[in-house]
Amino acid sequence: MFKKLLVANRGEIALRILRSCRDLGISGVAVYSDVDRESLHVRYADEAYLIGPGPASESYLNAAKIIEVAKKARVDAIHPGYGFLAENAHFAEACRENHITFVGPSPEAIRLLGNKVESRRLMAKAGIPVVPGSRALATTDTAAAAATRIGFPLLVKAASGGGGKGIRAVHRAEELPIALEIASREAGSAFGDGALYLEKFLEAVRHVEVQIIADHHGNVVALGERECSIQRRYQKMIEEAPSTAVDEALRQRLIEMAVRAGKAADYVNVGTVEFLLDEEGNPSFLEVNTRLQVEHPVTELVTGIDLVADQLLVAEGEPLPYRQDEVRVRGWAIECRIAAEDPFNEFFPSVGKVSFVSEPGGPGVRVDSALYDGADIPHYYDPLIAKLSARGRDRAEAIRRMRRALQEFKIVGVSTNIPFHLQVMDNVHFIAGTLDTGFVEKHFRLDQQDELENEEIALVAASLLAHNKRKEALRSASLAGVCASPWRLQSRRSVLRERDWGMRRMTWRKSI
Amino acid sequence: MAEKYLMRLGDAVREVEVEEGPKGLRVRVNKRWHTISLKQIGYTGLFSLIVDNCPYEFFAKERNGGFDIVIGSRAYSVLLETPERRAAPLPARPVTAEPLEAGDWLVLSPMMGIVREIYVSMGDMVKTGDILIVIEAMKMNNDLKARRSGRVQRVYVSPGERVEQGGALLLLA
Repeated sequence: MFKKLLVANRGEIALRILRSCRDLGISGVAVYSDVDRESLHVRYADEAYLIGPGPASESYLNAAKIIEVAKKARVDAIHPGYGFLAENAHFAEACRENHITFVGPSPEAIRLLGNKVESRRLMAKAGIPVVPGSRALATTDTAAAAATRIGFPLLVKAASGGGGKGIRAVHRAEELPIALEIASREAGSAFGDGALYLEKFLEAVRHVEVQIIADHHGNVVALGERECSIQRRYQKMIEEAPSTAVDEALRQRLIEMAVRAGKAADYVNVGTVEFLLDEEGNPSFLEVNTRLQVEHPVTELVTGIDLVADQLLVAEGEPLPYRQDEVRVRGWAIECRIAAEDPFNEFFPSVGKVSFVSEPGGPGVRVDSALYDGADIPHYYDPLIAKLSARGRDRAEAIRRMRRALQEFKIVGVSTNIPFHLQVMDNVHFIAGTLDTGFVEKHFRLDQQDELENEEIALVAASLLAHNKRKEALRSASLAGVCASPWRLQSRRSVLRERDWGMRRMTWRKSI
Repeated sequence: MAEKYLMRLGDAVREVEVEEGPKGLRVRVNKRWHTISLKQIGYTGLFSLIVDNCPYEFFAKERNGGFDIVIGSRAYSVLLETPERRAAPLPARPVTAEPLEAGDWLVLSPMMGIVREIYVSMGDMVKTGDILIVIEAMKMNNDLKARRSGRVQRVYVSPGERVEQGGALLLLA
């Protein structure tokens, strides 16, 4: 049983992991950059260590510093969360060398499955259908030849990539050379490896992934599928479990393939096997994510399983507490990723301070967030600031609850993509469950209409505040004239200041 | 007492009348009078406004010359109309390109971030939709596309440079 665990991450996922640690009586250690000093995960943890300045490369990606802190705090294990060092084989190795348990698969599995070309080869060998594509590209000539073989449109992808980053679409042969150049440069800076491969660009497909968990005793169990077709620029925005594209027969097939994939890679701990389904529902393997994923809550909501707790169980060497036939998927869950982006301005990131947040609640609603009044949203990290999930007995109930919860979620101070999610919940194609990865482009157009009613309310509100301000100014002015005694003037002023409308900072009553 | 206020929201100027009388607090917008109850909730700028028994919540932050009112996820900058303001109207939202000389367009950065790639140089012809610059913010690369065609007159930034929101990037003519 672990006594102490270090979370090598920040924000909502760090808090999520620390919560499961607290459930299990494991002491939680947080690390933070100097801009994250006030963060919720720092204030929640049992121990907290400053690891560097804001930029990720100097803090959350600073593996050496994190290992140093882990040794100083004498932790038994490190949980990497998602992103940052979660799929960094060197970091997993460094943990092993320092006798710290890395909560995740082995460095070898991370390395193998992190190379998208190698993982495709492994799956093909295991008899799993793979999205048509190339090997690693050696020269521009081999690229051109591979492109001709695969056919256009195609995607240029980073061999060491993942998470939807470092992907460029190419529709015609003339676009290929510049796309390769740009993609290689982006891949080099994002993943430290500019190697590329090509993949057929399957439009109008559905992104369906299977959650797997494996222990050190050879057991691999699939925990149902998730659909993640609502994407923008290859970034998932809305996920759900189960998928409307999957009937029971296909589900069994996907489960079987995912488990086979896990065994082929000698996998341990949680992972996600991603597939693309064509219009006939035929699956092709895309990639394996060797980490806990952002969208894990929807799986937890429909299976009743605490994935983080089970990750710790497996990492401690225990066998999985359930067999495949004991896993039940009940009801439906949807998750909306709340990001600090302005959907009315090309989803450009919105940096700033959240002056006020009020999170939704009630039946079937789950919020994974580390927001609080006064939280700074710095520009060094991801714009994902919260995850809102809704669960129902069926998909319709989940959608109703999500709509309600989105309306309840108040975040003031930065723009968020909540208006986007609200419009998707009202979209006929979404409600009908006809989704594919082209959903946002095809069916969706953000309604820029200003509600007339709200404009009038804003005018009324501002007028009333202006009116009150004027009254107060008049009152102060008349007091100054009438009340000669400075003592009484001071006391009157402090009473007035207390009834201040709160637009300036609240001041405490001065001495009376 | 009844007071009239001239409020500007975007391009429109509206008159709002506020009356505190024996009937309580009332407000007139357009031709109709409404009964009002306004209460501040806590100290974070949250208010509850009930207009004719319909409750609304909003956030208010005082700003130069007026208030930023946030209702739902939209923010409204409502300003007290003054003679000076009428002469020089403010833009409704930050713009990414502003006309200078007749025909010149200054491309401004819509966000704070780091310049990653510059795909054009002085003298290049660009057409609408061409990607000009890639700015990295929040770990995402954002392609800034040309909103109109033109020739690149000047490039003000270089790769690796940090830019502020509204910072000048390129001049197109």
